[in-house]
Amino acid sequence: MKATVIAEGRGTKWICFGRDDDMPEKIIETNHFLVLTPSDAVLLEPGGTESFPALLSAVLQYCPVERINHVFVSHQDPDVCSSISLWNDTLPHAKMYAPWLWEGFLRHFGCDRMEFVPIPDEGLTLALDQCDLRFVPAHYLHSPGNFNVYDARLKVLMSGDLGAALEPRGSPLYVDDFALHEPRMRLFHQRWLPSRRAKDDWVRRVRQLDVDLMAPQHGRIFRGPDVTRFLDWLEALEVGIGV
Amino acid sequence: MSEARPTSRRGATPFHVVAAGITARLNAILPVAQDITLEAVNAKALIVRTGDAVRAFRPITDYMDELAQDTIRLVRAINQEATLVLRATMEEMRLGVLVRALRRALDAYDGPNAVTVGARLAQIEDRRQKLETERRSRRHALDMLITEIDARMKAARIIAGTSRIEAAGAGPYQGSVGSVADTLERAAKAIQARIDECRRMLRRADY
Repeated sequence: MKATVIAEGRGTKWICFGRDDDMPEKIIETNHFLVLTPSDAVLLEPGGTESFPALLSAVLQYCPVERINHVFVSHQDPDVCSSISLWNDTLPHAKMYAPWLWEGFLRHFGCDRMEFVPIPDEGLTLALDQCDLRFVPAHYLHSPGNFNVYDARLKVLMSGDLGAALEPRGSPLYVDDFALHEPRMRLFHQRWLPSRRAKDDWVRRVRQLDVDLMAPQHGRIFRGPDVTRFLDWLEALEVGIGV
Repeated sequence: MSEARPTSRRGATPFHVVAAGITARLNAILPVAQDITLEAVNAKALIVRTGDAVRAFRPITDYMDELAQDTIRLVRAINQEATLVLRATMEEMRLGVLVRALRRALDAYDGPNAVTVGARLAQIEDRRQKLETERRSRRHALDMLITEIDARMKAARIIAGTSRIEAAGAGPYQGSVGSVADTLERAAKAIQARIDECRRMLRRADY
């Protein structure tokens, strides 16, 4: 599994893990993130059972497990969190943050050792050393209980399924040509996002944030002007038209 | 030290599937055992009605009652044991998955940050091995309980035979006493069949 530092400064580092060459072909590729501060670490989107060994060994390159005090789960999908029973025993000291809506469901995976912190609908802020991570509501995009993660200092938005693309293995980490990339995202957004109202509200709120880097859970990361291009594109896109 | 992956015999059924199957089969035994109790009550009522005519039948009805209560107790004990073995097996399997995943992670990374994971792996492997030992001992307990209930059913069929002999000398009550014997024999056969199934399942079990 490849690890790339995507943002760094003021004692904080964002590392993206993904592009695992050993992942079986039929399993969707996922991006996982580690936010590292001088004395703390947060694992965002711990992933599926299949990716657990590769992700753990990649994370260990950056910090010991005892430093990972927080795990964030944006929503209930198996590619986001079916590994939580494994992390539960690996990080028994950690807190797991997930939408309150999914607590009773996620507990079916088995997470009795990590402390479960339900995120209220309006979101919350996690303070780590000098870095504040905001869990920004993204409900109905696609999951009815769903959050993104925003770091105002480094101007990074982990956007979950927003901006996700379905593309072949070995694709680059960053969007280099938005026009070429757009078709790879279209079907995903039209089929997965059920609500125009929720989508438009999210676009409006994200436009108010200062974002240099938008990192989705699948596909490529958007930089600089491509973040605005994405917001414009999504705003104009008709969604919920899978049927 | 045994491997995290349970040793597997070719064609063997996973043990948690066997434990669940045994629980399901035993649930079907309980109403049959309750039928024996009911038949013993009927038989006692028959003795009261007939006075001396079937007096020799009384110890048999007492034994039937005792047998039914014993069977119910044993079935409940087996059920409890099967449920516990099922839980232990599931947790052992889950920890086995975790142990294998942690080993794979440590195979890919052996730097200084591996120390804590290595220590955690040792603790988890220890927990898994304790569960494996518990599963083996519970499996043995399950075998013993099944043997015990099997012996009870063999005794029940002997009692049914004795009842028939008693019925032959019961004059006008021959039919009633014979019917009690038939019910007892049918119940014992039904329970025995279920127990034999459980035994076959245990023999095929992966452990």
